[in-house]
Amino acid sequence: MSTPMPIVPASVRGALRGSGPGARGFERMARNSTCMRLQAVTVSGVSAAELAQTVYGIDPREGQSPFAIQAGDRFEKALLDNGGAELIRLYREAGRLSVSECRLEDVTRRVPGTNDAARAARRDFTEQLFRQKLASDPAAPNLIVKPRLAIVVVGEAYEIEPDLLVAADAEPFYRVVEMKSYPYRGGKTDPSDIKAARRQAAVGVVALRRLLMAAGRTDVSALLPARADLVLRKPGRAAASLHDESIVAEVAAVESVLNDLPGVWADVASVLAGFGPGATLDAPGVLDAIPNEYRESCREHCSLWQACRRQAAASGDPSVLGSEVREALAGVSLPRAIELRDGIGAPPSGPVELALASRLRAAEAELARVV
Amino acid sequence: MERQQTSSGKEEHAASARRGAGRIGRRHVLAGLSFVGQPTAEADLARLLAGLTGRAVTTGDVRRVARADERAYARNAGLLDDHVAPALAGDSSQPLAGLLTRSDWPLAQRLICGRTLRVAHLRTTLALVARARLAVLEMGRGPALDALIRRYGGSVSGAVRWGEGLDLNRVEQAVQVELAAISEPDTRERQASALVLGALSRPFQLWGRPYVVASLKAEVRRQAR
Repeated sequence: MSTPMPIVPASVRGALRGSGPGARGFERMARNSTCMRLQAVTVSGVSAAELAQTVYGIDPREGQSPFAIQAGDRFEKALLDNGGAELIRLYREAGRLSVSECRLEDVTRRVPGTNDAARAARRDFTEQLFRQKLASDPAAPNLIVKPRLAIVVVGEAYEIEPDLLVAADAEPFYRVVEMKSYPYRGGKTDPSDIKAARRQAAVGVVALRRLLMAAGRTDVSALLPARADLVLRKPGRAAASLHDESIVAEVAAVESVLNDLPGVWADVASVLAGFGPGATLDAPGVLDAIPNEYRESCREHCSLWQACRRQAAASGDPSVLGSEVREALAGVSLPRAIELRDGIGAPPSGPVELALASRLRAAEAELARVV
Repeated sequence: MERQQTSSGKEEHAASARRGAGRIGRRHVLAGLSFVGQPTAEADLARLLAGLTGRAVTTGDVRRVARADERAYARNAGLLDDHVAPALAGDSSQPLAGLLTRSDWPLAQRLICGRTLRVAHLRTTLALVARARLAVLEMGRGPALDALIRRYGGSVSGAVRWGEGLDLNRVEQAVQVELAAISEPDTRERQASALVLGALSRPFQLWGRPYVVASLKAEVRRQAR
């Protein structure tokens, strides 16, 4: 028996262009870590929106509005203007940086440009700054704007750019900072916004930890604890506020997703192998054949959600009725749940179906009594 | 010294903005750089020029002038006495995108080390305070200048108290305290880097050394073997 050739993620893109998932892509993957389709799309580096349009003809209406992007750019610019004056103020007021700790390095200024050489140079330069910090060089910067990090996933290096890294002179290594332009309203801030920012920061932490491990450091958790800073806008003002956040759960989620990816990709590769050599994600039927895990929350982050929901509805997956129904039915499909309620079809198999049948009948009786 | 923004001041500024409408030129950019006396980001220089001249100045306007000067040098190096030149990194003598200087400045003044951007910011604040003290009516006086000082001084501890009038003495003192702590080590670093830059050829001194991408170079070597 011959061993099939391993399928490289970049080779399944077909006619679609590879854009690289970035931190946002990895963050989305952590939102639904059991969806093999989402992971396959992310790892292959194609845009889910482009795929939805090409394969399903769905207008994805994905991404931030141009106004939100502009607001975000303006906010970042305001923080970084005048040598990062506003950022320096924030960190000084929080007692995190002293007057002399104002060394700032903007990686995009060092090597501007969007071509491969410029990106590689930015990555090299970032690593050079890390070596300086790890060697406790007093000239190491306290603030690094837009560092470029490589994260290796299924044998392929993807690059991410955290907004900022920060460290006082006495600290052993940098902490990841995410700058977001939505206003921080305490408990009234949209929790999904905060969670997304924390997960994005977690991707940065995981990438940095892997880089440190590759450099032979074993004390990565001590060098880089699972904490991040969120810089958010104050409501109604252009000023910013600084929030020190624990991201232990987010780092664990991202790490677990990335650790599981080689196994998941092997499963994807075996599905693709069924379509013959050279199968690509944009070919008819290929994407449908990769198992998905539709959730209500998919519409918040994945352009393929409409296709997945259609597929879930066709297969009687209770997820189409929401997470509460899915959990209540404990993995039983909708047609089977109807059979159990009405007492038709095969008798309940096992204690789960038995308990579910009695719960459904009780609920049916209660409904008939009330209505 | 207390300064109050008045509606007549705003009107004066609006009128001066109308009078000065039009694109800024090379002489404005060079004058703006001389005013600051430090490497300045294109966007910051545009904002300063807008505040000081009353014209609508964009980052693109400043960038256009810088690019034109670079092209002029490429065509004929001796055509202009001084150029708008990029600031150079202290450790590598490479140009830093979007940061501008004047070619007639001493080398140390054109270099950026770790704390230089902060020092430049503080020195710009002092220059604005000095300008505000000139009690003559000219373009750029009034609300625009006050707003600039508030903006620049806002990041300096104790310089600006929100809800109170602008006190130029307080701003100056606070800036001087911070400068005293970081200015000297920054000057030392820049002077040491200037010695290295001084050993390079004149075009490299003006426009910086080219970038070398170590990882790509290694890749090419591997392919060549």
